[in-house]
Amino acid sequence: MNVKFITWCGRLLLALVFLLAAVHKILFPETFALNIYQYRLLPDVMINFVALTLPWIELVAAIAILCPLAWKNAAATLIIAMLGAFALAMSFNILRGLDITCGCFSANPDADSIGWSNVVRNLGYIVIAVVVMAEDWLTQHFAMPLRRR
Amino acid sequence: MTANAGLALMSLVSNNPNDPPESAQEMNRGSIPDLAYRVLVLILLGVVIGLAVNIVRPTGALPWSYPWSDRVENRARAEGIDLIGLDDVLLALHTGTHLAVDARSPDDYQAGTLPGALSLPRAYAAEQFGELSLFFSPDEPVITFCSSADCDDALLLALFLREQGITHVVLFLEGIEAWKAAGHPVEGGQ
Repeated sequence: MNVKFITWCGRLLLALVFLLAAVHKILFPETFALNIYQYRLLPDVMINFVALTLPWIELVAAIAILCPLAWKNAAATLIIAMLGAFALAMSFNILRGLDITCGCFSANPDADSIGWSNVVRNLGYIVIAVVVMAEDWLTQHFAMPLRRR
Repeated sequence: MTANAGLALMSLVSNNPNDPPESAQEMNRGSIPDLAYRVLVLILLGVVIGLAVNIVRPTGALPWSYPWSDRVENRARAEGIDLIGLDDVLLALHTGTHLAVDARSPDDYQAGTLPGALSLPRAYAAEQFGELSLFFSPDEPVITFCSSADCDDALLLALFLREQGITHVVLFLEGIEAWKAAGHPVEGGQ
């Protein structure tokens, strides 16, 4: 297995995750807006704006991470920033005891409440995005040299 | 800025890392300002598409702003469900004029509820109403409540009960949190 193959798998996984995350929110922005409200982190005036634009930013990032080098790195940076923000928001609400749903892939109000497993999953995706960004560095340092007879 | 964004978008599909650098912008690729610029382009693209799609949504545009904090109260008023305040709830329960119904989950109910309240979780209301219908009378006023003004369950339960023929349903919007905060006693559920 070489570095390029591993990072391509990571890119495909992140693209799929962000695509799945975006579709439901794009189709049901009202439900997603309610989900954002339940996090109780944003003022009312910002909630609909975020509900309307965040899913499209996720979708753009999902497409861009499959694009050539510079755009891949920009998408990975954006994905790391989004996942980091989501992980912080979830951690804050778990610690203050709010019983709300994640809203990550579905905004079903009867879904399971957020928990540390959601935060750990996000951190795992962040690690994958960092590996994707570090592809060049990893190639230079860990690529297996070709053997010649 | 617009021309730069156009060039950047064109390079989104056309650049090849093996091509020799063709311009100062190509030479700059990989630097932190270039990365920040591309991240900004991606964000702006998402924002513009999101706002544009909202304008042409077939089911109608989501308003740019909405008073989410008052949404349960606003919907209750729109649906014709009367609200009842903390003092009136205290009086109603003390005199026994109303039946209090807890719309929260069974676990929350067991953890502490209004004195004498019945448990009818909103999520299971349709399944459980048949078994509990003995407790309801079309003429006896019912108070529904959940945890606070942020939860929808009490309002949804009030609407459900009205559909079942309970004509006088009122909503205790502030819910059990306000009841506890005022220092009134709770009981472990029945």
